[in-house]
Amino acid sequence: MTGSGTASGRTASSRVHGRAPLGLGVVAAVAVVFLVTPVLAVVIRAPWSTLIDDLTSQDARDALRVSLVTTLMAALLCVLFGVPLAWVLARTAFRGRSLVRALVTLPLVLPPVVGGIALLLAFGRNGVLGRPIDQIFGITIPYTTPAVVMAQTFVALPFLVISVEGAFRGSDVRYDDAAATLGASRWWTFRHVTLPLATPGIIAGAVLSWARALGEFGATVTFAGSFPGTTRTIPTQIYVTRSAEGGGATALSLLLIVVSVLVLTVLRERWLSGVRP
Amino acid sequence: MTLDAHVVVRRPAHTTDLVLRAEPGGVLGLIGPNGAGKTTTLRALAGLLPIDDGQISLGGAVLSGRGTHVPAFRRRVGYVFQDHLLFPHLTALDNVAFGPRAGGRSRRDARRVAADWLETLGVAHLRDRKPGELSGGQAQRVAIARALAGEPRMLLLDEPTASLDAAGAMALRTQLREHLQAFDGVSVVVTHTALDAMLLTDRLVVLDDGDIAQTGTPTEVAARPRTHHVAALVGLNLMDGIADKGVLALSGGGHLVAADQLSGPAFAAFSPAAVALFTQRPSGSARNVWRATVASIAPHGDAVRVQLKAAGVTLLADITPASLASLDVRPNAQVWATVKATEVAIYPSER
Repeated sequence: MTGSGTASGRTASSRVHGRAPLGLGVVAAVAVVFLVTPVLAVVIRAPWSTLIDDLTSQDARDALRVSLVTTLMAALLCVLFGVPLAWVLARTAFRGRSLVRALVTLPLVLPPVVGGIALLLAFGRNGVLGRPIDQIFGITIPYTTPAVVMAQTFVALPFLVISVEGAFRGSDVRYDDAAATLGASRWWTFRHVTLPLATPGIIAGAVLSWARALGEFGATVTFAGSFPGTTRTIPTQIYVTRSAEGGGATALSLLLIVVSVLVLTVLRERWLSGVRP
Repeated sequence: MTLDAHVVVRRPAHTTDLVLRAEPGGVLGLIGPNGAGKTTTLRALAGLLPIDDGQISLGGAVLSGRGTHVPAFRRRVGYVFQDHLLFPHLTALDNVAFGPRAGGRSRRDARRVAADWLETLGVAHLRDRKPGELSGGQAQRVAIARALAGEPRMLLLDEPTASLDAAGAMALRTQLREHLQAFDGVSVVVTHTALDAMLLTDRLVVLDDGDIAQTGTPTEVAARPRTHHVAALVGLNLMDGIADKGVLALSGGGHLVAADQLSGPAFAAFSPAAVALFTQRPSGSARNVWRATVASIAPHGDAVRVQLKAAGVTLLADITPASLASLDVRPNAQVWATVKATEVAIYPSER
C-alpha cells in the first residue's frame, strides 16, 4: 500500500520535473529571451558613470518627488475605497453584482489614454461632474497634482479590489458566524475579525496598486499634463527626455526596473508564505 | 429561561421539522446520523440561519418566527463549534475576551474576565498562545471558555469532542460535564457519539431524516433504541416487526422470540454479548437460532466483535478471543448464532 503510493508519487513528480520536448523548449527559450533582453539592455546601457548626477538633477528630483507624493496618495485612496468595495463584492449578494465587478475591473483592460480622456470628460472644466464642481466650488481639477492622483487611482484601484476580494473570499465566513454568536455587530466583526484576517491580502493589494500607480503614464499625461514639479511624474519625465541628450531617461528607467523587481520579490514572499498571518 | 422551539428549515434535499423544549439548567442532546438536521437546528437556534416556519422563543421572548428574527449577535447565545473556530489572529486570552469586548467592556475588564474563564477551564497557562499553537483539546477548552465568557442565556455545542482522539475526548467530556451542570441556562449538545449523549445530556432527542424519531432520558434511549443508528451507537442489535404474544415477525423475514408476551408493532433489542456462536447446530434451550455467514471480525474492548449476515437480518456478536480461536471463526465462515428469549427486550414501536 505504502509502496505503491510512493511509486505513484514518484511518477507524478518525474512528470512535473521531466525534460520538455525539444520544440517546446526552444519556443519557451525564445519567449524568455524576448522578455528579458529589453530589461537587460537598460541595465547594460545605463549611464553608470553619471547615474548619481542623472538621478539627482533638478528635473529628476522634481519627478521623483511628484511620483512619490502622488503614488502614496493614490495607494492610500485605493485602500480607503477599495477595501470596502472588495468586502461588498465578496460578502454580500445583490442584483447586478457581477455587473459592478465587471465595471470596477474595466480599467484593467482599458487603454490608459482612454482612461485619461474619460477622466477629462467626467472631471474636466466642462466635464459631466467637473462643470458643476467648477461652478459651485470654483475648483478645476485637470492639470493639477490631485489630477495625477486621480488618474493613478483610476488605473490602480482594480488591482487592489481584486487582490482584497480574493483575500475576503479566502478567509472562512464562519469566523463571522463565531463573532456574531459572541455578540459582535457586523461593523465590530469587520474591524476585529474580517479585516485582520485579510491583512496580508490588503498589503499585497496596496503594494500592487502602488506599483501600478508608479508606472502610470497614459491617463496621467492626458488628464494631468506634464508640468515639472506639479504633474510630471517619473514615467512622464522618462518620456519627455527619452530623445534628449544624456542618460536621464535610462537612469530613471533603471530606477523603475529596480523598484519593480523589489515589489515582485516582496509580493512573491507574501504569496509563498501563505495568506494566514 | 425555558427554550421553546419549533424549527422548520426547508432545503431542496431535506426538510428539518422539530419541536424542542428545554428547561433552565437542562442539557438537551441531539443525536442522529449526518444529514439528520442537527447542525441546521443549532444554527437556527443561534440565529445564524433563518427558519422557514415555526417559532423559537427563549424565556418567553420570541427570537425567530412570527415575522421576527433577532440577529445572532443580539441573542446572547454561546456557540461552541465543532472545529472550535478560534480567531487565528488573536491569542487565547483575546479570543475569550472577544465577547465581553464586543459587549462594550473595556479592554482591561474584558481581559480580566477572559483570564478568569481560562483559569476555570484549566488552560490559563495558554493565554498568550495563538490557536495554531494549541492542541485540539486545548483549543476546544479555549473555545468553551470563549462561549461562556459572553454570559450566554443558552449554550450550543456542536459535536464538542468530535475532533479529538479517544483519550482527549474523554478528558474533555468529564470536564465539560461539570461545566454544563454548573451552567444555569439552557444547553443543547449535538453529538454522534454515545458517550457524549450519556455523560453530557439529561434528555436526548434522536433525529432521523429531519424528524424526531425518539425522545427520552439517555438511559431510556440507550436501553430501548428506536433507530438503527442509535442502536449501533450504543452497541445493540435492533430488529423490528409485528409481535404476537412475544413472537416478533421480523420486517426482514423470520421470527424472533422474546420472553415478554407483547403484541403489536414492536422493536426488539439485545446485546451483542447475548449472542452465542456455534459451529454445529446447537441443541440447547435457546429459542432464537440463525444460520449465519461471518461478514467481519474486529477487536472490541476485551472481546471480539463478529458481524454476521443471516436471512433478513444483520447481527453483532461479542465473543471472547478464546472462543474465537476454538470456533475457528473466519470471514465467510458459516456459523450458528443463538440468542435466549430472556435476553431480548421487546417494546412497542408505536408511541
